[in-house]
Amino acid sequence: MSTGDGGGRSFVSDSLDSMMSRRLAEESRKQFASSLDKGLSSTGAPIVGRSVAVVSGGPAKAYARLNRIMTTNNVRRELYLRQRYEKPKYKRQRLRFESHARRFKDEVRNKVHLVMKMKSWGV
Amino acid sequence: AKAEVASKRQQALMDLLGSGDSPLRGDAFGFRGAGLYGNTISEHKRSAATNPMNKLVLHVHASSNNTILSLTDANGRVIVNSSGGSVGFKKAQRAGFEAAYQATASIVNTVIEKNISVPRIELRLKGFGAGRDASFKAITGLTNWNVCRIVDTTPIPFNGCRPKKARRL
Repeated sequence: MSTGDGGGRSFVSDSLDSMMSRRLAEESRKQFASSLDKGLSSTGAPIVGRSVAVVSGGPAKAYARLNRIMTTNNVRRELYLRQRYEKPKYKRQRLRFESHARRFKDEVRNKVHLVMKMKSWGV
Repeated sequence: AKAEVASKRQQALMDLLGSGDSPLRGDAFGFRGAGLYGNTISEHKRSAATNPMNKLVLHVHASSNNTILSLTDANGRVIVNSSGGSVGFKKAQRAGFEAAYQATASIVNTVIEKNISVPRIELRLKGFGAGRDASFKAITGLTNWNVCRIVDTTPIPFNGCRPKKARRL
């Protein structure tokens, strides 16, 4: 910060500016220190989605909910696959196989449901 | 005289732990003085609402070889530690359900002995070992603590580091 030069800044305004900046820094530092006390949701950490608050059902129900979140998002399977490096060739093979299997199962499910419906219509 | 002083200190620590005030001074970085930009903690006692000892966190690291438990305050500063090995199990048995259950039980016992009040407790589970289920069952079965939140903290990379090569090559 150059003194003397520049567009007519006095000594008083310089010290005021530095005081303001120090005040702002102090406030931001206090805010940071206090934010560590707050809960997870305010931080927006990547574990927010895997956090389950215990409400009326009790901790067992919350634990079950957490497990359901983990299974529907295939977290365990993904972690297991990530343990060892999967070369791009094998990854492509696996993805192709999985996609085909998923489509095949969907088709079979649709056909079976249709047959059940037709049965109920009396065909 | 030394023994007296030591026992006095012990007594003071027990009182402190029991009073609900955190035994850990300073802000989250252990900083207690006046920094360049002012104090990060006020001179007055922390208000009841923001006291980090209001919510304790039990970190459960349940790996495939062992279970490590840490009871900390809300800021993450450790109060008690325990693990499968610390309760007397050796090698492969540390990974089991029983080891994790006993490790959690040892933490519970320490808390009761030291008269630490547990208003709320949060469970942070890391990993998918046997200790994951065991610690939850122990906490809900052995105590009447108010479990306020259950979080999964397993580190999931969003395509981060390259893992080790596949086995059998």
